Formats: sequence, structure tokens, C-alpha cells
Amino acid sequence: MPLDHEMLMKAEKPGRYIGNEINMVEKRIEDVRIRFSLCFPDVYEVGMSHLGLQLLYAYLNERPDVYCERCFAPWVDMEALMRESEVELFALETGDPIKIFDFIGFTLQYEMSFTNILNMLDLAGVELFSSERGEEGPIVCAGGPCACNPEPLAGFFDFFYIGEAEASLGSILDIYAQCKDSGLPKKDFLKRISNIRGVYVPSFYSASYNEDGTIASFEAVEEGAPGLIKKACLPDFTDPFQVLAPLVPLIEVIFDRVSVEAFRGCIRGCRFCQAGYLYRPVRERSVESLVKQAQAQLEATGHEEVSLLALSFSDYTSSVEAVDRLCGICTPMRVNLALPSLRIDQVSLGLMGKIQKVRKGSLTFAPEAGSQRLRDVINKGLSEEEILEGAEMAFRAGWSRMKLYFMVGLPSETEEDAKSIAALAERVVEKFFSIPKDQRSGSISINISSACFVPKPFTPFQWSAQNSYEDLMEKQRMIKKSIKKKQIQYNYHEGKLSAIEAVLARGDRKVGGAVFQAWKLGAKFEGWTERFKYDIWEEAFRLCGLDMDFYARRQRRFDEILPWDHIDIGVSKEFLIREMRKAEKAETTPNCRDGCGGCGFRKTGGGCVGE
Amino acid sequence: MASRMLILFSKKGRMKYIGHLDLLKVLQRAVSRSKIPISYSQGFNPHQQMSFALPLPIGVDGEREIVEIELEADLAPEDAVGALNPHMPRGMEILSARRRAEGEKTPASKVAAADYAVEADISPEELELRLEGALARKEMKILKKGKGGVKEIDIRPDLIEASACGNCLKLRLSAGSVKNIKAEDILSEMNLKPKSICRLELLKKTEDGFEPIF
Ligand code: SF4
Repeated sequence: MPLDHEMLMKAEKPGRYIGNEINMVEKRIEDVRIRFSLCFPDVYEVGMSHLGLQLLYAYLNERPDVYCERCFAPWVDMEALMRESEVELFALETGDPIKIFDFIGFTLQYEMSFTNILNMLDLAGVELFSSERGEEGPIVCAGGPCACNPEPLAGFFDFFYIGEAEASLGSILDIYAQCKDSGLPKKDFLKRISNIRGVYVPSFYSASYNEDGTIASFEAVEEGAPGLIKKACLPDFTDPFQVLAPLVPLIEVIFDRVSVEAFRGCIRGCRFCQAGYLYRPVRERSVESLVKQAQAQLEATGHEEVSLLALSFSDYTSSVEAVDRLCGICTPMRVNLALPSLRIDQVSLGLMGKIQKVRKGSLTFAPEAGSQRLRDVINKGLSEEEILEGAEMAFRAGWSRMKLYFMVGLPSETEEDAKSIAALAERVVEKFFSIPKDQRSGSISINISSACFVPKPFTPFQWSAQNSYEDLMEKQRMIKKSIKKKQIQYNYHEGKLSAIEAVLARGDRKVGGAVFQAWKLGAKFEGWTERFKYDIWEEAFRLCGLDMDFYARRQRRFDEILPWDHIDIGVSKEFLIREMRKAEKAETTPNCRDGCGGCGFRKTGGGCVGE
Repeated sequence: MASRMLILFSKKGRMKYIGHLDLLKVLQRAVSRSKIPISYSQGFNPHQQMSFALPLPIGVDGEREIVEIELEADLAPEDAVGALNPHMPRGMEILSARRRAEGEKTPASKVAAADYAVEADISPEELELRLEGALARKEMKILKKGKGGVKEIDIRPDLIEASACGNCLKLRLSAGSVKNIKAEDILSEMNLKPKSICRLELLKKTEDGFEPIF
């Protein structure tokens, strides 16, 4: 290991840098052809809580010809120590510097981690811009949800992978192995993979701009590069690739548990939610596969908790059966079952009742907007009666603590809409007191929190202007003032952080320059509120001659070429426009089970499919 | 029948950077994976009945550390060792186990001293000199943070024994719930920067001195 005892003892949490976890994969370097460094641009505890990382790690290491090792962003204390002692960024498994690997692969979970990527490349001794890297050194690539608009990072990556790794990452590695054996240059490899589904090689494309800064054209400049990059997507999820032995961290991480996906996609179609469109269509896993996977993971890890993941778990068609069967496994093992994403309805409360025998915990629901009009605008598919009825059922069943999540700054939101967040929370409290004392228990406590709306690509709101951060903060202050009942606590969010997030989420190639400047000015761990520095970003955009409002606060036209128009996630632009028009009229669209909205996929008897 | 078992283990190499609370989790998960019949506490959040003789500071190797577990069914000590070892992370090993007899005190309550081996970053001659200097001192006052704020205490009486051999320094220091002295406290009094510190043995008090607990 490249860190000596003294360095580790100076670091705040040395356990972040030592690897050695249970189920860590060990291979002999002589036995593999491809070394892959899986990089997560945040600290160890965040990265190790991420299901996608465990999935990719297992998926890549299942191949005998590949050795996938992990690499996280060292926290600022360790980074300083490493720079001082000239230790290059290394992979946890072997301690080897990642610059000698074949691939450096980043997972893009969150816009605010973009500067960490540059910092990690720099710390690794790898040139940041792909055009300056030459033949030596690794191929630098990225995937994950933020790759759906890869443009702000286009200059730094050799290729992006759009979609689900299990779908075609394997073919990319096969081609790489061939190219490596025949000693072909990097560009030949990139050309060969550029036609694999999901692969986007940004250097094969070029953009030109209008005088007003919008995109005039975006074209392939390399012969044979596809005009439209289609998302790679598993056709079937009934019994997908299983992670049999997840890594068990030796130090406490954010989510210390095993997680199993119940299904991909979401039937709901909330108009602000990028995940709801990105992961379409809905593909369910069989209960058999879910249970088998959960049991295998619990036995291989000894974890105390298993969590069932989905964008909205109560929409899983076999949710009751799954929870019953898992309770049967968990109880004798003394393992907790967690259901993190539930709707406020009968089914959910039934499920919670099964897993929380003691109604001590709090229930978490996300109405997202306070007024009915605004909930219709965002297509939340939730009426006030349903919310209050849900709350009543919960109180009668013995719960008394509830967390409610909202968003401020949603398109068309008025002051009244914002204030109605407080009003709704108060009505929930009143609901509690309207129940006779002997039919409820505990004392009521409602925790509401609001996040700031960030318009995201591939949602009906991708054209919308974001509120200024002053407005966002003002609205949140107003909500705070409107809360009169002492049973309600309110937490709110830093608007400036959401403002930068919005710029990066819908940025074009020019924004990459500002990301680079921000990094040079010292921006890192920007997703950590206490480390976030708005001034740096202002300065970075000023240096590049770019206007942040152009990206975040401008109402875009439907006929404008959007920076991500060459990416096809399967949901059509016509559908998104239709949804936006309906939003303007506060009209709702039924969920996919009640009626097909014609999103671009095709509904069939066995589920929805691509073309 | 419930029984209590003492388990002797080592914690070295990379594992020395794992702190006490994290170590507890590491061992609990190993016990879960091994499926040995450990007892759980009562109440809303049942947890495994497991307690350490004495926490090991981060950065210090442990040669012979002791943890006690309570079992809800009988298990032969050698079977416990055999069941647990495959589940240990690299750097940890279960060395031995034995039942704690009815009436025998818990290891935590027995600990009175601990032996350490320290690798020094100075020449053997220099080490010899500093050791003589330390042993010649009548008192060694240091500031220690306690419940009632910072207090000055004399740790000279807690330096029970010390010897040097080459660049290795051996120390026997008071340890346990009554008075617990860190090897580093003594080392900084000797102006010594250790290359490594290893806790060799946990000791109990006997009529004529100390002897290993396990
Ligand atoms: S094809 Fe229809 S049912 Fe399927 S995801 Fe799209 S809108 Fe929903």
C-alpha cells in the first residue's frame, strides 16, 4: 500500500484508505488482461453505500480476464498528505496507481461531484483533457445517470456509456481485449465501440453555436459514428445478474446494509423526476429472484439490514408476497427489512405494518407539492384526501412520527402554492388530533423538508426556467413563517447549491470549461454543503465568459437544439412536449398501469419494449 | 444452556486502522456469517452479546486481544475457533477460545495491566539512554482529559516495567477500567516517535505480580 503508517495516522478516518473488506476480490495481475479502476467521485462512505458500485464490481470481476478495483476520492486531509508525499491516486485492492490501468471508469451520480472527477484524475497523474492524453495511459470513461447529458464533461472522457452496464459493457471489454492484443491505437478501439448500443465517443462529434449561445448544429465528424446514441437497456429484469457477495465495509458507511432491486423504472411519470424517465420501461424482477438474492447477500455479509429498492416500492406487483417471504427470512436472522420508497396509501401502510412490529419509527412520504393544483402540474397522482386518509390510517395504526418531503420552485409555483406546504402539514397534525385519544398513540411530530427544484434533461420540465436562488430562499423562509404549530419541524435547502446543480445538469460543452476553472480555483466535494463555495463557481463562469442564467434560468424553446438531443433514452421528445403542455394546464396523465401515455416505448402484454 | 466464551484474537496489519466501534461491527458480522449460536439482548433493538476486555487504540497492533461472547447453545471452544476463522478479514485471526467458568470474573473487570512492544526510530544506544532517564524520574505529570475536564496526573507509577532490546522497547503499563495509560503517553514523555506499537498481552493482577488473563 502506498500510504505509510504516519500518513494513515494523520488522516481523520484511516479506514477509508485500506481496502481489505470482506468479499474484496483478489486476483493475480498475471492472470488478467484488463485492469479496470472503478472510480467513485466522492468519499469512501458515500461510494460504498451505492448499489451500482457493488453491481459493477461484481459484474466486472465475474469475468476471469478482468480485474476491477475500486478508487474513491480521498477526503481533503488525505489529499493534502498525498500531494505532499507525491503519492498518486491508487486502487484499494492492490494499491497500484490507477494510471497504469487499462480503464478508469467513473460513475456519475450527481452533478456536484464533477469537480471531484477532475481532482481525482489530476491526483492520479492523468491528463484531464482526453485530447492531451495520447496513446499511453488508460481509457477514461463514465456512466451513470448524469451521463444522460454528458456534454459538460465531453472534453474529459474518451467515451460515455449511456444506460445499464449489464446490457453491453461486456462487448466493449471484448473489443478492448482484441484491440489490446493487436496493439491497435486508442482511436481504433473507440471507432470500433462507437456503434455499440449506449456508447458515446464525444470527440467524434462537434457542436456549433448561434450568436445567442444556443446550439446551431451538432454533428458527427467521424465517419461511421452514429447520429443518435441509444440507451443500452436490459430487455428483461425477471432474473437479472446477481451480486452474490457484496463488499462489507470495515468502517461505518452511509447505508450500512444490503440492497436488492425489486424493479427498474417507475409507472408514475412524475414530471420533475429524471429517474422516472431515464429508467423506463418498467421491468419487474420475479419474487423468486428477489428473495434468492436477498438471502444470498445476507448470508455472505452478515449485515443487519436489507433494503428493497425501487423508485416506488409499493408499485411492485408482488410487494406483499415479497415482504412476507422476506420477513420469513429476516426474522430468524434478526435482520431488519427496510422499504425506503413508499407512497402514502393502504398498500404501503400494510407493508410498513409487517416490517415495523413496534410503531416507533417514523414514516416517510413525499407529496412534493403543497397545493392540489401544483401536484397536478407535476403529475404526482396524489390528492389531498389520499394524503390525509393515509395519514389517518397511519395514526390509527399507531404511528405518530412522519417525515414529509416537498420541493420548492416547481414550474408555475406561486406564493400560495408554497404556503400550502405549511397548510398541508398543519392539516396532517389536525388529522391526528381529530382521532379519539384511545385510537391513536404517542405524540405527533411532523418533520417537513423542502428541496429546491432543479430542471433536469429528459423530463417534461427540461425546457423550464429555474427560480433564482433568492426566490428559492424567500419561498422557504415564507414557508417557515407560515408554520404555526409546534409539532411541525421544518428543514430547508441551500438554494445556491441547487442553482449550480441546474447549470451543470443542463449544460453544453462550453460549461466544461467552467467546471475546469472551478476545479482550478479549488472546488471539490461541492455536494457537501459545508464545503460548497458559490463564489468559486461565479468566478469560474465569469472567467469563461459564460452566463449561468443562460443555462439555469432561461425558458428554452421547444424547437431549440438541446445539448443532449443526440442521446436517445427511449422516451420521445414529442411525449415530453405533450407532458409539458399538459403541465401548463395542470392536467394529469394516468400512471402506466392505468393507461399508456405513449412515451416512446411500446406497451405490450408482457411489459413495455423499445423499438 | 447459555454459556460465556472467551475468544483470543489478533488484530494486525491493515486492521489496526479500524477503530473499536467498527471492530465490534466487523466481529458481529463475522459471527452472523459463521452462524455460531450467539445470544441476543432483549428489547426493541436486540444486539449480540459481545464485550471486549479492553478497547485497542487505532494504529496499535493487537497480538492477543480478548472478546467475550455469550452463547445460547453449547459449543466446543475449538469449534468456535474453526467456525469463526474463515470469516475473519485479512489481518485478524482467532487464536484460541475457552469457556468462562461460573464465578470467574469478566475479562474486562480483570484487566490491570498490558504489555507493549514499541519499535523506536532511534539507535539502540539512544533508546537505552532515554529509557534510563525515564525510569530515573520520580514523577511523570501529564494532562489528561477526563469527565471533569482536563486534569494533571502522574503516570510514573503506571510505568510498571520497561526494558529495551535493540531498537525495541518493552513496556508494562497500567490498563483497565481503574487506570488506563496509553503507550503513546509514556512515549511522548520519552520524546520517542514510535514506528509501530503492539499490545502483546492483557494482564490481571495476582498476589505476586501480573499474569496473562487468557
Ligand atoms: S410505453 Fe406507455 S406504459 Fe410503457 S412506459 Fe411508456 S407510457 Fe408507460
